[in-house]
Amino acid sequence: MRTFRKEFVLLLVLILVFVIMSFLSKEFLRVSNLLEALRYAVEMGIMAVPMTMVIVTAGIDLSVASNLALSSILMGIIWKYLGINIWIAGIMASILGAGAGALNGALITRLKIPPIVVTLATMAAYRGIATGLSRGRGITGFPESFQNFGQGSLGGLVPYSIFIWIAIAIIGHIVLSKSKFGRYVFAIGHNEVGALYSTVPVAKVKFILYTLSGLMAGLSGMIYSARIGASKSNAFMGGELEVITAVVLGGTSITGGEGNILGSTLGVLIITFLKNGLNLARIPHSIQSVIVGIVLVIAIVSYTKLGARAFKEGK
Amino acid sequence: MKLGREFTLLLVLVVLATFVQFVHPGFLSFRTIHVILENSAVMLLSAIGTTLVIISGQIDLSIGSVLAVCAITSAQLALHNVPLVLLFLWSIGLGAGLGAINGLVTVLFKVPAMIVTLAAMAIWRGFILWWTGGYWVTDLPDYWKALGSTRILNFTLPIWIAFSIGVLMIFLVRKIRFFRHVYAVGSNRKAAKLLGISEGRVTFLVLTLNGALAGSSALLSASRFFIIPSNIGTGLELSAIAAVVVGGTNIMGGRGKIEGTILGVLLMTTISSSLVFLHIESVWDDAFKGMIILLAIISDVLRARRKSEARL
Repeated sequence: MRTFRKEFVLLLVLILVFVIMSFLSKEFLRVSNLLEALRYAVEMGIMAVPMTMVIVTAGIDLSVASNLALSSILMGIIWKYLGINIWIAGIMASILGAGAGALNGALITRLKIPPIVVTLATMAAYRGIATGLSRGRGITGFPESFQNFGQGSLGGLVPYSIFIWIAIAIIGHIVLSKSKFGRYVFAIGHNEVGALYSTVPVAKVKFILYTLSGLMAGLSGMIYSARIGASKSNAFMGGELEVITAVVLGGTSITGGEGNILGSTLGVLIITFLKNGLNLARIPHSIQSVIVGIVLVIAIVSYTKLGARAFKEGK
Repeated sequence: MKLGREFTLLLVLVVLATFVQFVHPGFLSFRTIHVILENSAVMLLSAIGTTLVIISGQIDLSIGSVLAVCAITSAQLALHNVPLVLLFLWSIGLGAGLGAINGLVTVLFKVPAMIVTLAAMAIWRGFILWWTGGYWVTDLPDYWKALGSTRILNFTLPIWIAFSIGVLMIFLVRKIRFFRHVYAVGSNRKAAKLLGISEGRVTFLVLTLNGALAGSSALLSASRFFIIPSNIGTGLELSAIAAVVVGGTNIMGGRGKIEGTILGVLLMTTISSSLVFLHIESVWDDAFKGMIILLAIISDVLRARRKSEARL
């Protein structure tokens, strides 16, 4: 019952954002603006799916934004310098992203280093390698059809990339809430040692999760590059904060064991429309990052309070 | 065997310096060494604060942004000719205040400091970009730069200040009971609680101290220049964590030494300078930094594993 309440609250918050933003700017409520705003949410939305599962296991992946940038640069290099078709280059780069995620997973499960530490180090390393490979310059001039994938819209209205997000969110939701794999994820988050004794393949599940997180970061890198029309080493800088904020805002407990994809998706929508509205109201980017930070703090603080109260009531 | 880690670090430092000197004679000049010490001085105090935070079992990602807020507001005060002593009080006080906010939220709501400081990192950086409008603070008075350029016995003031505080801290950490508590909380929360040590108090004070040290780093780092950019201190938290981990502090808390961190800082800045001398482009700096953190952590874990296997 409590998860239902949380999503209800989130929906109310989303409506509140809509009301406030429609007062701040007349442009906001136009259908074309709302759909266009969603185009900018696709990468965050896609990466929030595996991030939710990772955080449910009481883990975290700080390297997603750097992994996105690295995949973006690798795609550009494979396309430009190896002369491989851009779509195949994009798929190859996504697989390399999965490889980078698998490296995180291997260090976390094999060497038993805390996820926070591993992904903090690879956050620096992946971004650094992207900067080094690109020499600080971007790669541009992708074929028209590829750019259209990131910049075009179905019927001139609905951005193509949104369909990928919807598909991944639905699959993610089913996997987490209906499958055996999903039950393993929750079991690990509730009590890892207990899960291990109940024959849950803890290491394998975690390894798969971090690999998936890398794969989605890689795919997001491809979508990002198509949207921007360039491979950039500074792509999505600081974006891990936004993804984590969306997931935590969506009601996933940062200490694990609780969370779902619907909540995270609502979290992504709240942040997206908040930023879109602030943009239209000409509030500077610097203040937007302040607001996102404050939203994260409020979300953590209020959920810990809520959790503590429910716990007391339960007793 | 007691000096194991520190000895290894010194050895790596000497081998690296000799190698670069061999490839590129002129590396081991007074000028290069002074640059290395100056860069170390800027990082040292934050790295010491970070050492204590990590020993207590937490992580603080906000120090780069805290340093920026302290450096820029201090520079703006300097434009009004506020005396240097007051600038130090302001910068350290403000840093401590911002650190205390991190500490309060962390302790009151029982959330990992890392998440709180991740938010604080975005909030303070966004704030300072808004406050300055992205512009640099320029036209600083002469006495501002005098702090960074005055030399005693051939070394500049920041080097003296940072390294004397560093050496002082080695002894303070051994002598003051509070720091014993920091180790206790980091190595075993429950045992520390049974001993009557308040985990909340330790976390709060360590985060406040880290803010204060970032505030003092702010003046040491900013006073070297006449121009203060609003992105000053970006990435400081990673450099500090890298130096601390390389210096042998256990990233999971409970174990670590200030002297290791001082050597870690020296090693990291020597590596940066070596990259310049070896003609490796600066775009690779961050990649090296990340991989060094990774290698340091992996070697630590493998060593700990070997030790526990040997015990069995």
